Amino acid sequence: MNTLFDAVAFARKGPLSKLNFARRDMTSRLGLAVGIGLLIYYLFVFFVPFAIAVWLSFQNWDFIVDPKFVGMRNYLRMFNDNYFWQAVRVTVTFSAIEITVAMIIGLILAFLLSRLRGFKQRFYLALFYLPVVVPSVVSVLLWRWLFISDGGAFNVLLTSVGLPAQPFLLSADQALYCIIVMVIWTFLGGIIVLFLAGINDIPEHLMEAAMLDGAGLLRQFWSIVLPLLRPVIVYQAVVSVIGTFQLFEQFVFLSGPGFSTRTLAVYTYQLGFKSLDLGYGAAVSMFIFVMLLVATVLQLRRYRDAIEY
Amino acid sequence: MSMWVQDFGPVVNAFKVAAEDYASRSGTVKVTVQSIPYNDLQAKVIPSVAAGNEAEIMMGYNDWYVATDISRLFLPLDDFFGGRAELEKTIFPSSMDAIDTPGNKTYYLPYLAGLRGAVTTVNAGQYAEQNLEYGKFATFDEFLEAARNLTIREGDSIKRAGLSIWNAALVMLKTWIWQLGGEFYARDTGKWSLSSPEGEDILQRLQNLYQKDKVCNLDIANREYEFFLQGALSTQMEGAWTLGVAADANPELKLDSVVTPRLSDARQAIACLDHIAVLTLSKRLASDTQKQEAGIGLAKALISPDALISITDAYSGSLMSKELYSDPRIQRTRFGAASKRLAEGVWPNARFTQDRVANQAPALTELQRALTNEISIKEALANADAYLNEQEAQARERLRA
Repeated sequence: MNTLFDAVAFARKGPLSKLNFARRDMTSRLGLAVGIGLLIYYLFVFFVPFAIAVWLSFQNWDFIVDPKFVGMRNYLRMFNDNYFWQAVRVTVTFSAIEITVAMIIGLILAFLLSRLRGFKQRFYLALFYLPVVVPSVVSVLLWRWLFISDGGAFNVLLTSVGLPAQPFLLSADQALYCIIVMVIWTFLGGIIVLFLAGINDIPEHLMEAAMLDGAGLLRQFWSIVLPLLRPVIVYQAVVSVIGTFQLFEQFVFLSGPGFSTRTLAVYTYQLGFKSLDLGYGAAVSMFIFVMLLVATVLQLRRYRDAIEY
Repeated sequence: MSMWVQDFGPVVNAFKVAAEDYASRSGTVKVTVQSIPYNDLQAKVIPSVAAGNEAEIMMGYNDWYVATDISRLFLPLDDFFGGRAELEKTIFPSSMDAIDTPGNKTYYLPYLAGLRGAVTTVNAGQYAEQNLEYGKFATFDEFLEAARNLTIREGDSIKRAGLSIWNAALVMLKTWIWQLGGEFYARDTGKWSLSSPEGEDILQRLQNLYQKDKVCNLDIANREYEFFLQGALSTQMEGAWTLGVAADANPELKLDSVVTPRLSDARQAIACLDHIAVLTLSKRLASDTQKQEAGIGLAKALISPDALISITDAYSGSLMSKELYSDPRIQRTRFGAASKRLAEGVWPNARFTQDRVANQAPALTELQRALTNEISIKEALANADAYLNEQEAQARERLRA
């Protein structure tokens, strides 16, 4: 019995073959049941709502009156809608800055943490991860208090060192950046955990060889960690793009003046539930879907090219 | 039976008392009251009606329902309340025009209103310090003059703002266009035209407050109510409700509210209102006689002076019942007298546009951009018109379909 195939053949011929078949039959039935269950779940939770949203995007509907088919009009409206493009600008600016900054900081901190061991590493990891488990409404309220222009913690700090107080959320120029800071703080822990796991997977002998060749920390990071971590970085980028497009309460509760912090997600909600313009809201959500799809495909292409080891 | 109500303490309490009272009298009806935050309630009512699982009685706001067909949302009430003419004997008649209803039927009961813009709330202590008798102001221009005196500057910054109309800018624009004899909305065609000589004139006056007279800055304007609570804003137009809420939040403040006087060059006394709370009943009650009877009974109890009087102990805005204000008990509650004075001062001159735009916030934001000089007055009005016309056209198309 040298191979797995031999073992299988023996089992089929042997006295346990009936029992094995019965078990296999049961397993495949269970598998079938789980598979069908999942299929039904995905059908009702994802595919049916998605199909309805696609249908809705070609209608003018308000929940109540009969839907009116309007063809491509909702999609054409988007191109002449300044509010839509403003929301696209805000969303893309937010995502680009938030993801870039969070990933750079996360990468550096994960690398530094990977140099620690035992309690120290766990302690700092827990510290960075803490905001992830804080309910988002609580952290939003906390940051709103920190950003209060008159007597808020940040301005007290700034004025105490002789710097001018800032309007923060009251300024159309600063509000978006305030939310970026808050979101980075919130999700940094998750990014660090992922990167740390990736760094820990890098074969130790590569680092040791680099050290023997006289490579310092910066050189190790640049020449070994960064290239070998590329698949993880690409994965994190994909997840982050999708995640930032879906953020909602942060923009509702920390909103800046005018349209300065209105993202596509908030705009879609307002179109649907405030304006009762559901068809157009659905068309905007389809645009978000296509944007995310394109971004994901582009990033996954880069993932395919990532270095394997 | 279930009732959905906005999570505003005094109103929730009034609902609970009415529910308990009705349940104990009937013996067979069990009533639950669910208090829901404003935004959640707004997002919940119409989808729930569409799904057929809405509460039997719901509090909501008129502007939530203007962009759809209200006759397909709620139970018609004429048969139970004797029609509009009968209701107008006990309710301020103009409040019955808050929504353009098909066939002039009644689908909602006007309940309460904050009266944004129609009421001016002042820090009476600060006015007294300057010997300014706001109660005798005959025109709004006198408030502008007072604001200049009340504003305290410290270098480039404002330590105390005299007046802010930030959140009331759109409703004041509408009010004052009407007062000057202009028009901004054609009900028959649904065309919005805030861009007009009157519109530009009014928005220029509003902009002057922030840019020329500098009686307020953006910092204070963005958080009018908070600064008013801190005594850093002397006059605001958020509505009559702020009198009661602010008095509770900061008992040291000496506050008062007055009906906003007309402009000095006004041709007519008129106040545009756009946001009032209404009570509605589920259409499902039409097919359930027992529940229908209970629902109507509860609705009548909720708008009765007995139920409303308790609200005026904490709420200083307007309630819609003329009956309530003719009840002598109104003078004995904490804000009863103020509520009566303001309601009776505003409602005879109140007018609704009866438009079809559910969410007018983007139009307000366009005006606010002009107040900060981010865009020109003409551009702000044109943007606001473009938005309102687009929304109006969408709603009208749905209604025609």
